Amino acid sequence: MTHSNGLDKLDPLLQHRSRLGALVLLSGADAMNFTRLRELLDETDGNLGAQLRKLEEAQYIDVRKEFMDRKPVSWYALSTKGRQALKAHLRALEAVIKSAKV
Amino acid sequence: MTESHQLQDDLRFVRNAVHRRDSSSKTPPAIYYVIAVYVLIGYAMIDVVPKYCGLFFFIGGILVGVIGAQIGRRAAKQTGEEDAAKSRTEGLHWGGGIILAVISTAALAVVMPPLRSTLGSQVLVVMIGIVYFLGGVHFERHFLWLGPVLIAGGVLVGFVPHYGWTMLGAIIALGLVVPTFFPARDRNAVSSEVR
Repeated sequence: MTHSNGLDKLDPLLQHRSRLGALVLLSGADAMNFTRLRELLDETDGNLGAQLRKLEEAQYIDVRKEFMDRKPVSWYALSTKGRQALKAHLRALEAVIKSAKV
Repeated sequence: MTESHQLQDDLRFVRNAVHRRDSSSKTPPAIYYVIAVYVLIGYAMIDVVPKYCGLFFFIGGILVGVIGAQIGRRAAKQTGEEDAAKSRTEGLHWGGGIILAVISTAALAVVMPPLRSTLGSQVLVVMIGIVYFLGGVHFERHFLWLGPVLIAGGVLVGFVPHYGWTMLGAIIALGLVVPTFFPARDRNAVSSEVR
């Protein structure tokens, strides 16, 4: 297989499936809270929290805190930087898939 | 696991997450209950106090829109997902579609005097039936059959001598409420949950 060229263009941060999944889900909505992301990604609190923190540190997502029924709720939204990174990563993935077909 | 296998596995994981999102995004049932009450009262008024039904539909329509938006916002908070673009699309479909149907019927009534009677209401109901059907195409599947029921009802109500509108209102109200008690069958649930 000769898809090494495409592979090196993949965003290292998005090579973890939970982080990629979170960005894909957030690209289809204005914002999602932690519980919703956890349900959809079928992840544990600890793992998802760690992965979202990495995305937040890379400024791929914006976080806002709210109180619902006196409980703190974190809402996550895709940032402009995150959207660009996701697009670039998906283009690279497409290139990998195309090269694998040859 | 090779890199390509790892990639495939990751893409499956993402696809399943997106599928779970798509199959769990439904309109809150409370919105249908509000519309059902509005339709039931409004259609019964055509039979009982036709003089006031126009006013009821006008004021009630605005109230239903406001209450529906409020329920939608609250449901979004509870579900944990905010999607203004989706809300705008649904609002434009239902609000815009029904307002256009009313304007079209009123415009037709200007040039076609017979439409200034109950016949105009029948034409309006047929047009709203088309809006319902298109709602089934784009949003909720049960509108696919509720739309044609409304269209047929709009035509047939002219042949019912007594309380035809009340009966049609009851059928539509049931058509709105009953499907909320049965979760929609997702034909792709098993096949598309790729393992």
